Amino acid sequence: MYKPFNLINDSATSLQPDEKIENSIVEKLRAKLWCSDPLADAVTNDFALMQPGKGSEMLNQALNYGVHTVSGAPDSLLQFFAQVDNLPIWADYKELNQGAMTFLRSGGLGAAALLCHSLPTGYLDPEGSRPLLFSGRLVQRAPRRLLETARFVYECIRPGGMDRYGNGFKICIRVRLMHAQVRRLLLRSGRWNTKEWGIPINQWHLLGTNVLFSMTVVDALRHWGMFINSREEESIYAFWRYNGYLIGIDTEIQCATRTECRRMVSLIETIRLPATPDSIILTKALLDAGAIMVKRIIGLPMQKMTISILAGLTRNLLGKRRADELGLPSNFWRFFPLFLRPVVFCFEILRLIIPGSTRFAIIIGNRLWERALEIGLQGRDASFAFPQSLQKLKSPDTLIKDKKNA
Amino acid sequence: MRKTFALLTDQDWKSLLSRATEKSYKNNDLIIAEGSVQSNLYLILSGFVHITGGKEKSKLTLDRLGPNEVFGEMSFLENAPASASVVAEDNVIVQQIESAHLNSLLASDYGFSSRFYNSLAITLSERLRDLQTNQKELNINEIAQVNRFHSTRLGHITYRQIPVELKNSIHEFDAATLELEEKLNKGGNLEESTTKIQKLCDNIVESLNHFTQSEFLLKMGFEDLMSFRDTDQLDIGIGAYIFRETFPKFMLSETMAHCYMKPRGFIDDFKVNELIYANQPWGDGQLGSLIDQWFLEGDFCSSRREDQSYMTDFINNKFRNSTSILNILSLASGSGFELFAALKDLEQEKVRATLIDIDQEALEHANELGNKNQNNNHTLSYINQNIIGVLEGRLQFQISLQNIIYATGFCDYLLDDQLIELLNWMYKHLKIGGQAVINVTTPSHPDRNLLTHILEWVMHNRTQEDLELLISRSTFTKAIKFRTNSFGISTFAILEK
Repeated sequence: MYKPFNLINDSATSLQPDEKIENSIVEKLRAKLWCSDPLADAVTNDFALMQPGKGSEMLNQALNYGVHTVSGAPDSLLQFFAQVDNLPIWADYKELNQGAMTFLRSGGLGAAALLCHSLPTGYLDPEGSRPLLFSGRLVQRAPRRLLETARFVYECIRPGGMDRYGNGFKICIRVRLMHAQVRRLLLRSGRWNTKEWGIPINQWHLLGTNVLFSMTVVDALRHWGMFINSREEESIYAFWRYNGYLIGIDTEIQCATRTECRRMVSLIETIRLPATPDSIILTKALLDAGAIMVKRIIGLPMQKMTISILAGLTRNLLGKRRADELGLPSNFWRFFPLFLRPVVFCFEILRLIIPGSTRFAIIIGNRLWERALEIGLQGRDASFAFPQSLQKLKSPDTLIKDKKNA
Repeated sequence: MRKTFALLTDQDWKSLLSRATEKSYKNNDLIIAEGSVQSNLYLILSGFVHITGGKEKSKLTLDRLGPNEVFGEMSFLENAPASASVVAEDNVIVQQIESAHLNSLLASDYGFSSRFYNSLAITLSERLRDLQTNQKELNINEIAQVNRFHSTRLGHITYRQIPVELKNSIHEFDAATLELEEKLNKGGNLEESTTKIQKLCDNIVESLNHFTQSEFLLKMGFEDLMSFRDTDQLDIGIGAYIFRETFPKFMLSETMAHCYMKPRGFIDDFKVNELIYANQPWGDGQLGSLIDQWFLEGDFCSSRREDQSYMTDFINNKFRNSTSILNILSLASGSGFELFAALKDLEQEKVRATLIDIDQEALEHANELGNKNQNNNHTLSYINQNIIGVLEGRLQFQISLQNIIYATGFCDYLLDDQLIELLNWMYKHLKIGGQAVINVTTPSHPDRNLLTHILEWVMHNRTQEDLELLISRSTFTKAIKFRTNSFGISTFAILEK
């Protein structure tokens, strides 16, 4: 039987757990494997009983104009929006904005940190990525997943993104309901073993993903030479904490500080099962998709070399043991950060010396994200695209042909 | 059992029976004929009688009375012709109380008179209550079959979600059947057309099976999460799409149209079985006959025919060369085709067969079949009763101990608890050494999606393991034999008391 909280394997990780993890925390978190998001689940259950498109219509109305404008809204939707419309007492828009700007000024490095550190770390845990296996077409869907993730992050960190009517806010809500729908699908399909695997996309995995998007990114950026002071770091955690609140993570387990995030990452690393062949496939597909995006965005023609660079960066960040688990090649590019770090360091020194350059870095970062998504989404509007829309996107080859024709 | 005249004292009974005449009747003897003028009262001392009534050529068993029960009281009370016939089962001994004697007793003894009429009122009231309960139980809503009525299947899926491959497959079917129909109308080769239509229909079933696989439905759900549809809804949606698109063609087949239309108000009625057993393709136009042939030759219908033969052989083997009177009971019998097929070969054996079904028309049809093969060695009773009501204790139902009790095709419409109740009921009504036979349809049979989505014929399918588990929870605890038919679709369980 699957024992996700097997603490015997302490020495198996290259990351050193901060302290001996208390059993009480482990037990508390163990229960979260079987906890879902009741508010979102209730909404999807009600939407499922409506005519096709009716639920989405109500959701759009509630997101764009407030739930009070939705006629005939089910109680579940009212309760759901009562929660998300309520700004938690600890959330401060100024701090959230600072966190977002810090992330934004990292530009391509931030995206690379997500690509090379956060997502592969997530794939290390086979239980976390199990719902993906049921969706089928692991490899073919990788670009789509990467694009969705990039879009999600960008819409959240761009100025005003997390305001009530900002795109980031709306995407968080949609993603939350999509998670609820995945849970619904899997649980009703009769193919999900809840007893063994917990609830699909449970509180534990939601929290894990949330922490991977905050602390592991900060770690990667610092590793590559970016200066992030403690106030900026705290603001990043606050930003992702609010993001987690919107995405449906139980406030009781959300991480507010570096210590809490660190403890959570240690927990994840300590208790996870070894990576499976599916983890390797997912990581490979992710790096391939990353290389395709790099090729599309900056026109770097050598796709194989880009994959090698990304693999090297990932290996460097994950460490030997975890990189081996994911089947990452041990190539020359793992030393790339040795070169990257002084370069970034120099830019950061200049940023700190020259007045206004932090603002300039944010503008550049914002432009980079925007440009990357413009190319990635091929000129589609800025609202979060539903999967069926993404399906209709043209393939890169078609796009190139179209450009040539133009 | 109703206790008639419960208020009469011992002295009353003594007075009542003082001038009674004891009479004996043999099996099948008519004690009272329907419509005959008589006003005597009868008290059963031993044996059983059954009350029959109904249409001239299709008499149904209305009730069964046993020792200490009284009949003839209605005629006595109204001084009117008998409303139903009373027929003896086995050797029956009754006390016949002359109406003149009874009337003199009533006139001379006011205490007796009061108790007699009071008892009679209670008896008649009980009968009325039973009648009302029966009437309610015979309502179409009370039958076991699930998904009896056509329900709307709209709104589960949007056209955008229909897989392109499925759309292509349907278009191909439409175009090819249209072309084929035109060819047939112009006198095309029938043999070639038969092969072609069978291939086309098989393709549709294959598509249906492919696109309703849980793995495919999950992927489909993931493709469009914001449509908020689960796999069950997508399954219904895909099935409904294929149903709508193929309906005009499949409904050309007589059997398929009958299965879908459910003229009796529920699925799997006696007419459906008659069509399947007869295996004579028919339909609208030549195309209809060909589609009917495809359906009748399919695994499910062939399996049904094999099951009928198996049951016929089973009864034959059990009863052949037996010298004593043998009781057999068919639950949810429909028209009991397998029983009559068996009785045809059991000319010399004495068989008392009882058919119970909720569908009066099915029993009338059975009665006609029984009359066709009239044999004095056989006693046939037709009881219009809801066996579910009996199993769930809402209805009282008396029957003598049986050598064989069987229910074919019935368990597919029962919930687990109901099936266990059925087994317990069978056990209770079997003689020692008597056997019960039931069968179930496997969930993995190839025509399941065709039945569910196109014909709206939904069953509670079970595997042999499921059946074994349920039997282990019943009084039988285990079956003496399991037998799966050659199509792997139906599994029989033979149980012994």
